[in-house]
Amino acid sequence: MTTQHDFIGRVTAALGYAGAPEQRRAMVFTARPGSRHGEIVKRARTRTDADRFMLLRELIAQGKPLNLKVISKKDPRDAAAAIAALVEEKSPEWEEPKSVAAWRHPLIDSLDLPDILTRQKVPVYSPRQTNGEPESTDELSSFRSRVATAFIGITSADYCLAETATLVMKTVPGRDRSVSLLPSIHVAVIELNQIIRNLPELYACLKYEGKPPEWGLTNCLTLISGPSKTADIELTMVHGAHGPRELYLCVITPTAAA
Amino acid sequence: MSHITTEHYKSEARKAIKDRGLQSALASVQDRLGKGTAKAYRELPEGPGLRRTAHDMRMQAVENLDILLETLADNIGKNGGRVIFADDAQAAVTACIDIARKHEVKQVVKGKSMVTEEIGLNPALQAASIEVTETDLGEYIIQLAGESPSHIIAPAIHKTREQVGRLFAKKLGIPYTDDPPTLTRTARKALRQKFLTADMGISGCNLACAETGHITTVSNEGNIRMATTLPRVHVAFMGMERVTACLEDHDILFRLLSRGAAAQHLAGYISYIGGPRQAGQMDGPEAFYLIIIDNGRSKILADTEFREILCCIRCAACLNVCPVYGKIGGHAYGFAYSGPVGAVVTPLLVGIERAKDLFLGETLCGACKDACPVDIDLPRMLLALRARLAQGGADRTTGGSNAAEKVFYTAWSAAIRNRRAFAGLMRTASMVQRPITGADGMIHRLPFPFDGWTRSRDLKPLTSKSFMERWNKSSIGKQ
Repeated sequence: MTTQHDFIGRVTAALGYAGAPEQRRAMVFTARPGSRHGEIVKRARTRTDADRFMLLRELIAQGKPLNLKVISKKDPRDAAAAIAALVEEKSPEWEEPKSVAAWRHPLIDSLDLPDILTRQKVPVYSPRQTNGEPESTDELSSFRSRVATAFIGITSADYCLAETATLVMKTVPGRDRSVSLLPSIHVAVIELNQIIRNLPELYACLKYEGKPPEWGLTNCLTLISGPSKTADIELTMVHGAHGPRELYLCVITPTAAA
Repeated sequence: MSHITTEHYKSEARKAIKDRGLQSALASVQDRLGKGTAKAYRELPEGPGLRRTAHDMRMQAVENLDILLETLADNIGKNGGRVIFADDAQAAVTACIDIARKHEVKQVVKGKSMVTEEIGLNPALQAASIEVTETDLGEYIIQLAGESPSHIIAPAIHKTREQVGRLFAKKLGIPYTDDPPTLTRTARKALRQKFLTADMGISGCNLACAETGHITTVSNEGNIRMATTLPRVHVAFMGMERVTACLEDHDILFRLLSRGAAAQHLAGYISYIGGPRQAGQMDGPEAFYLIIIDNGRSKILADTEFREILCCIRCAACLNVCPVYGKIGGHAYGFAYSGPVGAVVTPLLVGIERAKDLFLGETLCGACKDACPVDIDLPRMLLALRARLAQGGADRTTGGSNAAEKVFYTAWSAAIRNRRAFAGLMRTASMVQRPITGADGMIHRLPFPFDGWTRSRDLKPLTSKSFMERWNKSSIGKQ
């Protein structure tokens, strides 16, 4: 097997360089001209509510052709009620009885879903709080089967991009990837101030905001624009190829400006 | 190495042109995706010139590839992933089988990846008694049918809904239907079981990011998220050129990739994957491997005339506008890559002589250059390949042009530089052509060895009086 050293040495030779890559290294990894990160992050983080509502309107408009359904609610209680209504109205694709999987996340916890959904006798599964010891195989497989059985998955998101109607989710304990993937319906709940404009703002925020373990991209950063779709048979658009066939974004907005 | 059938270009092209179903499918792909992409470029806030910026960005990455690969590998290693470098197809395939054996893998689910087609991964895994399931709907359809992809992003575009219906009825035991939503749901159900039971997920890599140490996967179906989240092991394959330095580069490149591929603002799912599951996480693979493949790329890199093709991000925009692809489809190109990009990259990978029909068959109309999200000058390289073929050369295993052709062109070149010789030649030719000119005033068949010129077209005969003769006799000429 080739070593990294030999392989890269051959690439250097093919490029016609003779060693001393330090100068090139400095040039290649300098941030692009015009991407002044500090300013971008500040702009993204200090918007007025009025500006944020403008972004929300753009998000709604961009999401429409993608089949992203956006609902605004004034507080977590109303958001929870909207989710309860969805749970009532929709029927499971794979397995009865109905169950729901949800992230362990401050905003999602504040919805009190287990409590609200007891009335409909629909259980809510969330990843347990870990205390450092490694997850056992049994634990992982039981989590997997619970998420795979759930017909609705409820998550938050770290950011939401207005220009492309994109949810951005880091992977950290309690916020597992399959909750936005295996259930037939994905509901994401965010607050108005999580909406930013576009990819340049996202990349600036990812590089210059937050602290471990939530810093940076984490081991898996997922960008989602609309529900799963395919056009592989005669270019006919069909939603729900592998991932969720429906995607709802619930935005909690301050009442005053709404 | 995967099956190469570039030698059958002409016969496969002929077959494709007669296939009515294929012709209508190709027309509809080009009509929708080709036009949609052009419109999407026009609507870019920065204008279509953004493609030039992207080109410079890609070229800078390619010209510093050694540094980027080193940084990428180091960063992925820091995040707990393993990076393997493979010189050729065989090494890449062997590395993957070794990983599968080490982790006792019996069942693999795969996301769409052209580089795995290039290296012939699936047959090798099957030969090692490992079950492989393609999970992109289009790839799944052609895997069931035992065929190969005919388009980079819409691999089953050559199949009609009726053909898919009959295939699913036969292979999946469902009642016949040609309703795309029902067929999609059938595949969704069958593949969900595969995702939930597979031991290993395999993906490609659209664009890695060196400074953060992540690969990216792009899909609309969500199948690649499934394949990289649920199985115990994730193996990603990456052609060595598919890397950028900084995260900021991804803004322009992903917006252009999504527009070039499917006229979208941004693809449905983009995942940045930088390593295996971390403590406290309940899903994601326990092991992550990245296999970085050369397989002829360093030779292309060393050749400054063709280095530019390594900027390609495999979006298939050039297929959707190419008049040749639009008639002959993907299979005639005889390798993983079809269309204009295939006509350049395949000869460079498998040999100029062996795949010469691919670049000789393109029209040089330039549509591919206008459609390319990273503004690659494909027509320039098609011409350069023709020049290489004619010149021959030890480095590229080409036979060069044949001797008779050389004699003919040497004589021709002498004749056209001598006015009298040229005029004499034209006069002779205009007399000689009389018996072979048809009643409709067209030449339908030239005699050997020029018969190739009239095999698929009629020629206008030479005029009886040349321009110079008429000029000299005209009133202006006489002044």
